Amino acid sequence: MHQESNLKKVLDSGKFAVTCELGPPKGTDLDVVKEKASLIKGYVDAVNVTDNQTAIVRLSSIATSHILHDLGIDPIMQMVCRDRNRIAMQSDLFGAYSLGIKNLLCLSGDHQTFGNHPESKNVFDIDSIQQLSMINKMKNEKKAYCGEEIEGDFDMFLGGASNPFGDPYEFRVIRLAKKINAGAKFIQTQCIYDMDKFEDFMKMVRDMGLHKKTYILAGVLPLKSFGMAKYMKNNVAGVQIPDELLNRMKTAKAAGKGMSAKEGIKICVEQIKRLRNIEGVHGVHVMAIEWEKKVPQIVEEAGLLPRPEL
Amino acid sequence: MTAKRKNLFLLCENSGYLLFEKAGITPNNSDIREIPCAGRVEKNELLDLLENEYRKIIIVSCFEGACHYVYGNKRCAKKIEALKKDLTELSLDTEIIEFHSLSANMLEDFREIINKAES
Amino acid sequence: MIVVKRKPIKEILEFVKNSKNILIAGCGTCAAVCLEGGEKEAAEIKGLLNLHFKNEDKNISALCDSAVRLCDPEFVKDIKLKCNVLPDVIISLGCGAGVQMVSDIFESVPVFPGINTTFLGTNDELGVFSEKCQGCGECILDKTGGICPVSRCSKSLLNGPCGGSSDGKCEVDDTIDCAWQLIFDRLKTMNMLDKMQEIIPVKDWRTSRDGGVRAMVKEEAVIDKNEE
Repeated sequence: MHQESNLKKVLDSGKFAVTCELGPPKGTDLDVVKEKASLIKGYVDAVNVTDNQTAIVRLSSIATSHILHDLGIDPIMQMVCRDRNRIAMQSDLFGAYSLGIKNLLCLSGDHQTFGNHPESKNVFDIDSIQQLSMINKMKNEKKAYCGEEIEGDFDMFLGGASNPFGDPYEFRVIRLAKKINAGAKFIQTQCIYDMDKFEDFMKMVRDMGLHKKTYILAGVLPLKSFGMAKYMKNNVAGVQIPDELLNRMKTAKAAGKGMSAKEGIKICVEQIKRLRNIEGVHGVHVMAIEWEKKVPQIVEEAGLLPRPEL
Repeated sequence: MTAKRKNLFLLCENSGYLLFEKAGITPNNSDIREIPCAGRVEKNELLDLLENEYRKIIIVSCFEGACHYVYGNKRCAKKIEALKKDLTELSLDTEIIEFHSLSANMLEDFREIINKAES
Repeated sequence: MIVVKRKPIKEILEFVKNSKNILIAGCGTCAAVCLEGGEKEAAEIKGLLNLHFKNEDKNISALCDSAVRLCDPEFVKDIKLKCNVLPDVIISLGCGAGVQMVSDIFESVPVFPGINTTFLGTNDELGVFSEKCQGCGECILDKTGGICPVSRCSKSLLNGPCGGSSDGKCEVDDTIDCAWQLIFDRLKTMNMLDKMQEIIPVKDWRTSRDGGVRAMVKEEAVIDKNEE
């Protein structure tokens, strides 16, 4: 009854996968979801649905993923450890599976102090690696974490995140290995701007043979403006933007209205082309946050169309 | 009754008290106490004195950076600052405590302080 | 130790403003080391309140006393014995445990907290404290280079730093050290970095607050006086 994950099929077939991200609305306006979905449908293999990203309350990732599924888009439901204990997680996973969701990205979650309810209590009953291993066990043994049989089917194509630029740098590849050992069948990375450093990271990944144990989707995030680039460099932990890119965005800004966005897209396309040639990179994750309409252009200019129909 | 109360000068032996000796003033409305270091003055002791004996306490410590016990004057200044914050919260007059950092050659400043307290 | 912080004096005043005889109870252990609720601070609060009442021409007076530990009935009973008249209200300057013990011993007298109990931590230098333990009941410091991720990682992660660790600092606030950077560095100096590869399994939180209210009995110290 349940079809296989499209993302899994694309990756298993050896094709270079493309995913993007969709942020649910801050409320119940489903038209927002449908409109964003219509912009990206057919241009990507699967779509990440964020789970109250940056701890801002939004339409649930389960409901949004379900809507995408109904619209014929393969959702990658994100689930953070911040808001759910192991009871709620398993329950929501049964719910998600029952609604046809087949991909899951396990995440720690941004700390609630960043969001719109900074005074709230967090959960962190389990961390993202334990979450992966718990769900991996559920799908392999068809048992809930407590050991009781799961009534009915359960499966998920399990993924984790990796930030190659977080500190301590030496540990990042070890953490990736831990996630793979815990059950991550695919990995989506934090957005990459420093290509040389990422190449170095991928060499460590290959040296440990990790690229043969999981699918790695490299994250890219198109820069809209010089201001955004500066903000990300200075304020987003774990994002490193080389001066060369900053200068390109600065020059574009000086060139006039609309030129910054154009340059941002150009940079993004160049990055995807370079990422495609790195051994062990199996796909690209385009994080065009609140800029979903640019996804088709980026994917097309990067030469990734048409998407495979499997 | 409150009006009849005196001031209390707590004078650091390395600065304030030397100034007092040089000034040659015999105060009528103030008691003088020589202390080894302003840093040892405790808030609860000050409050006890204000509650029971004096109308006002004036502390004269060594000049900034010249404390013979390194940070005594700084510590005292911070304690007084915290105490004044509490006094303000309770709608009490913060002028009941004064804190001054003077070096032994700032005689005019000292005279001004003691004359003001005496008047 | 238990790290505490005195409540604003105005809040304390609110607790006592309708009373005649007020007792400020200081605690000579953690609260005293914190310079927030010891003997001196009890006398300070007493002085501040009395100055205030005098200024308002109110016939209210506060007294103060303190015990070695307010969390121990023997010491709190001593305070009670010294009271000629029972106070109308008590401000306890011990941690939350102290407030409750004072309440137990003084029975009908209302007891209010004069301090906020914050965390289990160390006294790094005079007046500087930092959180080190969350009392989870099942210590894993053997696995983490002697640095506790449960209390010192903002997300209590048990398997390494999240993506927000940057230049040794936590994404939550750059005044917070990333616990996992500290763990990594410590394990490295001990030549035990292989510990970082181990997956620390899901924790059993029953030993923590999540298992319900906790109590502990040291059997050998307890004598059943009714036993024949």
